[in-house]
Order: sequence, then structure tokens, then C-alpha cells
Amino acid sequence: MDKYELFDKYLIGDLSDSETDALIDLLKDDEIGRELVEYSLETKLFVDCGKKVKSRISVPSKTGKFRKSKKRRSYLPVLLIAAMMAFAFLGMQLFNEKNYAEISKSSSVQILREGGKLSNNKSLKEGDNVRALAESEIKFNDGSSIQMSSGAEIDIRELVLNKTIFLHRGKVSIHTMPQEIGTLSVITADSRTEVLGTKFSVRKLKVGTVLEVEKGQVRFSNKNDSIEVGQGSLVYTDPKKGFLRKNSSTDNVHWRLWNSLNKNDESLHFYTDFINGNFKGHLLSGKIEMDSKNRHYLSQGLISFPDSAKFQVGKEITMFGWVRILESGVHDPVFTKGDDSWRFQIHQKQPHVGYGGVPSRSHLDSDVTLDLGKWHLIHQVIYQDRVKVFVNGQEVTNVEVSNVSLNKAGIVMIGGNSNKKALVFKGDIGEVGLFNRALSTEEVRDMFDFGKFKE
Amino acid sequence: MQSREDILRQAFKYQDLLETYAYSWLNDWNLCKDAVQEAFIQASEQWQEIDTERLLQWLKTVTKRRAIDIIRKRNRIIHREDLMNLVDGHFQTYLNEEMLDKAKTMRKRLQKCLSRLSPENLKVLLGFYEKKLSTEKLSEMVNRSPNAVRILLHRIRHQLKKCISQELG
Repeated sequence: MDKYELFDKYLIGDLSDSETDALIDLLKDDEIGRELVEYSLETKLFVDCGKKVKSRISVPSKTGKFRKSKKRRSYLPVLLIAAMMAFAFLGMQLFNEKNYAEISKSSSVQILREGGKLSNNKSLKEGDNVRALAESEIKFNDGSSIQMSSGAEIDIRELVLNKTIFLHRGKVSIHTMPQEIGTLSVITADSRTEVLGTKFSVRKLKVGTVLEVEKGQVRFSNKNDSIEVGQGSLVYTDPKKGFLRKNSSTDNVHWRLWNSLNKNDESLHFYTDFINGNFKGHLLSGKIEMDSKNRHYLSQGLISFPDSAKFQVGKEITMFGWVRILESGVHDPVFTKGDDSWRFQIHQKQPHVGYGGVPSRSHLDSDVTLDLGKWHLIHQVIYQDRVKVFVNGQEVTNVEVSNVSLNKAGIVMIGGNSNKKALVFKGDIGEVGLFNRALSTEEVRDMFDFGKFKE
Repeated sequence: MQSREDILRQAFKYQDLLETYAYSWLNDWNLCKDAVQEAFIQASEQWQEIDTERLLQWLKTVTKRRAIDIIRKRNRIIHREDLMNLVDGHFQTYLNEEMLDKAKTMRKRLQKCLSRLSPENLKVLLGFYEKKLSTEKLSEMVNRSPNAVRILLHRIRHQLKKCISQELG
């Protein structure tokens, strides 16, 4: 099929999926893009002028020429002026002053307008690019507000009848008043969230977008679908797969899904892929099982990594893992490097963090108790002076510590501790990993959010 | 400073371009006129806020919004979003003053060239692009094969372009 046939099909709205793909390929060439624009304009003129010519053709005369019909007086200019006057009045009613937006006083943002940076500017205009240098807030005249997380970046796409925000990165939480005129929408590269009067947040991830609705209802759309999302719901859109809804049951968490999105993170020092991992582990006991969704997990087993010297880390790390405790135990090891370095353990159903070696073998227990028989995602973030523990994306422990030491010698084990060989984790371990940096609260939350979705 | 009438007069000059742009979103000749009409109304209301140097860009932005409003109201999307984004980029780039000059010139010559078409060819042209009749349907109307209709359409366009360039020459 040549490009003109594709152009024609595009113009009459008759492209199949494969033809759409073919046209997209062609249109990657700017010159063909220009041709399509010109072709469309020509077609529009053919239709416009063609209709006029047709209306002036009556019955062909014997000479083969066409007679022109009698030209009628046009009332179009008069009608146009009348319509403009009527709409001018109506338009005054439509202009939405409530969309006036400004940056709150305590906020710290950088605004780019028409290529230049604005300083000391509080009011926003369409086309502005806003980057939050710290937690910041945009307020609208109607009482609606947008909270921007530090590092979030948005474009103000529209402030006339509708309020439309394009989210490049980071997270925005939105509290809206009922929209009397127009809508409030947050667009990302792969989704559109349209407010129906509510409180919600949208996070742009490296791949996909997560919407969480705290109150009310919003409409969430991507290229494939459009759904209304109610209070308490969390929805993820994947650019290729369409919607993936929240799964409220932690028994069915899909704890491997996030891997495909984060495996390219250079700071991900280690991640268990029991089949293809770069770190060669040896299964010393227990079994690697596969569940009904083809997810592998280590069942009451022990994996040892002889090449543990590779596990040299920096000053801050994040250990994480999906675990399912089947029996309460004492200092049950999930992912450890002996007893003198970093240790991720479960002690009497509570997350237990080890962050140092001799003389104190520094450690702490978290206050939260995990349920037996249910999958939980645990993150243990160790800084030089602080330790945080997260369970299912929620921070449960945040304490100051000292004597942090993360690179003492030791054999790395999953499900065991080389210095306490009698200990084996009494349960299942879905996956574990180690980031060579401290993940932010938001990143921890993202990992859990991904893990909550079914495919 | 330009008056409202000056700005509107200038805006009306872009009507062909804007309707073509709106069509890229709406795929309907009547609806695209509505979208552009609404953009003009908005221009008549907000003329003092418009940067006249960027009038076409302003009108394109508003036209697009009105087109999207119409799509939303009708809950109907014609093309896939990835295609639309790509097409929109080209329209933003190439629907410019240069294209406006081409449109003006074409419009002047077109009526004459179209009146030289046979009634049957005009019927095929409008049947396909205006009424969006399939080539199968058109083939029944003109008693030719669908393939012949496709070739005919191509020839008509070619003839028209040739006629326009001759008129210009």
C-alpha cells in the first residue's frame, strides 16, 4: 500500500491497526509528515470548493457545458455577526476566573516561561513549566490545589476553561473542588486522569503511571481504555498492556512484576533471579518452587553465594525482599552477609535489621508484626546514621543509629546466615535484592505498588 | 495596538488551516467547522490577551482544545493516540504561514479546475472525501471496480494538481 492510500485511509478514518503502524513508521520522516499536512489541506479545499461547484451545476445542456444556477443572496455575514454577538455574551459567562493559579508562599519552584526562567513570580500561565525544588503547592482560585513532591515537574497545558496539567516526572497530589466549568486533568505520556471532584495523586514512573484515589472518583484513561476509579482504589497503567487494577489481597501479590522496570537501575547491586542471576548461587537446601503464575520462590531453603566478595557496597544501602513467614522463629535470616555486615532477618515475626559488625553487631527490631502465611514486601534502608524499615511500602521504623559497617567479610546467603548455620528461614522468599543506595520513600512505595498488581 | 476587528480579521484568514487541523482530530468536516468557530469566539472574547505575533499558534491551541472537547462529549476517538501525537506534531510544525499562502493560491484556482471535472469524477471525489463512501460503494455508483475507483481517485487528484500548477504557470 503506497503512502497516498494510507493518507486516504487516514483521512476517511478507515485505518486498520497494521495500517496505523505502517503510517506511523512513514510519519517518522518529517518530509512525509509535511506531505500529509499538505495532502490534508488539499483535501479540505477539494471538499469545500467541490461542494460549491457541485451546487452550481444543474442539468447538463446539449452543448455539454454546465449551466450555473442562479446566484442567491447570502445572509451568512449577517448571521455570523449575530452569532458572534450572542456568543460574546455567552463567552463572558464561560470565562473561568476560578482557574487562576499561583504558587503558594512556602513553596520552592523553578518556573520556565517561553524559554526563560522567572524569579519571584507566583502566578502561573498556560505554557509554564514548573519544577518543584522542594515540596510545593499550586493553588487555584476555586480552592483546588496541587501538591508537588520535591523533584516533580509539570507543564501547565491549559488554564482557560479546563485546568490541564502535564506531569513529566515525580508525584502530584491533587485536592479539587467540584469543577463548575471545564475539568481538571492530569496527563502523563501514557495516561489521562480527569477529575470528577475528588482528592487523588498521580505518580509518573519510569514506565507507566500510578493513580491513587483518596476521595471521590476520577476518570483514568490511556490509549486503550478509560475507567472511573473510586475512593480507596489504586490503578496502574502500562503503556503496552493497558490497565492493571489494584489487587487488595496480599495473598495474590505479583511480586516479580516490578523487576522488569527496575532491573536497569545501575544502583541495583544484586537482584535474585533464581534462574538467570549474574551472581551464581548454590541451592544448599530446600526447594525452588513455582506457583500457579509461574513465579519462582525459595521454599524453606538456603542459597549460598561463594563469590560474596562482589557484594562490596557503599555507605548507604537498601535491602528488600518478599517474604512469607510460615512459622515464627528467632533471627530467621532472609538475606545476609554473615553476622558482621548487613543482615535482613525476621525475629519473632518482626523485621530485624543488622547494620554492623564487631564489637556490637549492631541491629534493631521493627515494631510491626507480620502475619503468618501472607506475603509481605520488606525494605530495610541503612544510612550511616539512620535505619528505616518499610513493610508493604509503609514506613514502620525510622531511628538514628551509629556504628554502621556494611563491608565486613562474610558469605552472602538467602534464607541463611553463614555465621549461624543452624538458622534457616522458616517460610518462603519470593525475591530479594540490594540497592547500592538509599531508596526514597516514594521509590519504596512504587515498588510495592507494582507488586500489588496482577498482570 | 490592534483592535478586536483586526485580530479577528487576521484569525479568519487562518480558517482553512485551522479546519484542516481540527479535522485531523475530529475526522468530520462539520465538526471541525464547529471547533474552529468556537476558537474564533474565544478569540473575540480574549483578543486583548492574544500575542498577535503568535496568533496562529494561539488559534491552533484553542482549536485543538475545542476539538478534544468535542471528542470527549461524543466519547469517540477516530485514530490511535500514538498516531495522533505524531500527526499533531507535524501539524504544529508545518501548518504555518507558508502553508497559508499555498492554501490561498490553491483556493483561487481550484474552483476553475474543479468545474472542469466531469460530474461523475466530482461525484467520486466528494463521495470519497466528503461523504466517506467506501470504494466498494462508489464502485456500485459509477459502475466500475473498487480498484478502478481507487485509481480514478488518484488520477483526479493528479489532474487537479496539474490544473492548479498550469493555472499558476
